[in-house]
Amino acid sequence: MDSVISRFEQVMMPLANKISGNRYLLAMRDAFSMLLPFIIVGSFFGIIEWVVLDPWGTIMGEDGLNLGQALTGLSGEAYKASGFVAVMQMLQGLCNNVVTVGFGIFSFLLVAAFSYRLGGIWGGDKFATALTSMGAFIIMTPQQVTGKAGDVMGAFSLDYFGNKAVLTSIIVATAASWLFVKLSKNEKIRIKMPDTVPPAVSKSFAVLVPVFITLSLFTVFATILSQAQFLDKKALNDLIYAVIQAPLMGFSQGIGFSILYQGIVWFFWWFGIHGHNVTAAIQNMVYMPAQLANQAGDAAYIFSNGFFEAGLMHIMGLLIAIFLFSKRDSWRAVAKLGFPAMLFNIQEPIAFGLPIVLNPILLVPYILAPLANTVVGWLAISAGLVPVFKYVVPWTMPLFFGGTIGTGSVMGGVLQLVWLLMDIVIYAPFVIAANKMKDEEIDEEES
Amino acid sequence: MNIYLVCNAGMSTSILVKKMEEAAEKKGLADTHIEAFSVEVLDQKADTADVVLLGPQIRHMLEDVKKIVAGKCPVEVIDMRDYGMIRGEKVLDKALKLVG
Repeated sequence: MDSVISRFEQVMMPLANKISGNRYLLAMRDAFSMLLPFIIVGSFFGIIEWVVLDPWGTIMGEDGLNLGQALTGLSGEAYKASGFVAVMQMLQGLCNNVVTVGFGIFSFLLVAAFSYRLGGIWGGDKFATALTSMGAFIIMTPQQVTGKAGDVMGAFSLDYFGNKAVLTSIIVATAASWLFVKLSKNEKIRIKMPDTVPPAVSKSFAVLVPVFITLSLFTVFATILSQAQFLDKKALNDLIYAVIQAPLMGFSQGIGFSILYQGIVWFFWWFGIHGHNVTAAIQNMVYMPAQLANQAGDAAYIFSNGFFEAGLMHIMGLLIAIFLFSKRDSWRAVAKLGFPAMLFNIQEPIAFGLPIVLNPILLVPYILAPLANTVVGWLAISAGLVPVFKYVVPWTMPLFFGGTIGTGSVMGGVLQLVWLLMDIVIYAPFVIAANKMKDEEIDEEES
Repeated sequence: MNIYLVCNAGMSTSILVKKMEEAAEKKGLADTHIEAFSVEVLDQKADTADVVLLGPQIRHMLEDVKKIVAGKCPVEVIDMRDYGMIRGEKVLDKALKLVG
């Protein structure tokens, strides 16, 4: 058994290393991490705007707690015309401004963040790279909007800056950053200033030609696209969305792919390799945009970032199974030690301490539990029992709270409780089987 | 002396940091500064590190972390059991031994 495991490890380790070490994917992961605070803050304001402040919503409205009527004593048309509703709507607008930052212009922020990191890994001036990429992105974006009266205005549609443009951002950022950095390194085209000129000035002249060439190439490309109109699409984003992102989203929303994804994640984790770290590219390119689309109200994807993060609590099932059924002192001790962290979905103490990692007896439930969660969650949401995960919460949000806030409904929390019961049942037989293994075997390993 | 622990988010290693700080206090090592953060910000902090320890779940990134540190200080992976059992004293001892 050990030799099978170690042979697997010999394959998995270099593979995980290659994937995680890949500097391009690393830069992408870093970029998404940089934006996470903005997504969370945007989501927070989103909850306030759509759940708390909505005059006809869950807190204020007739269908909910009806606080609106309680506070104003009005209902129906009178309520609609009231100063209270006017104030609520003004406050909603206030919140919406921030929501736009986290979601409406997410892709634009991504271009900046990603290009900044790419500039870093490819050896260019990070900020200049970011600015140039942002410029390239704007060039590829339609710069006019047609109003209701048919008048054409100089304006951008938010459609091109939000979750639908994630793939476009990644592609444009990559191309623009690569081009810019490559050109910046070319001594022959660099405008050199005499030494007496201040460094900031000579720096800006040094990048002048790379910026010129990069933006020129992008505008030529953008014009070709708008003239040729492949698939009736004038703008790059529309084309990419139709050809790549939409099919990709559709494909990854299948239960099969989601099960495969979760299987890979937890298989890596069993080897003690951070499964989410290794598969971060999948998460960022597919499940994060799904989450953003849900939040924006554009879609109702079942499989999103929030959905999978809500399932992280399956290891709590193991912990409770240990408290209920384990007769091994060492296991009970480790479970007690790891419990506080696991309350916040931090599994490492129990994963490495029990250990779950490289422990053959726990391999099956460790993968089965999250897969079961995925299937049950899929059924529950498909049946309409639980809403989709709309609001982004930190992955460390404890179970029940994460599900409730994430779905905006207490049914989300209930789903996690159902998962917990199921996971305890899945882990229990293996905990009981492990009782038969003597503690001395573990002590032998340690010495 | 700066001991830096890195993992994916800086969360799980921060639990270990607390235990290591307690162990350091018991040993009377006043000027030992132990910190945990995400591997993503390591490039900003590598200059001030005396030793860098990796959470075992990112042990596949050891070579890349060594490249980021560029030989300025020792880089090692924390033993899995010590990590899982949050053995602050053991990990601290290992760190001190690496610094030499």
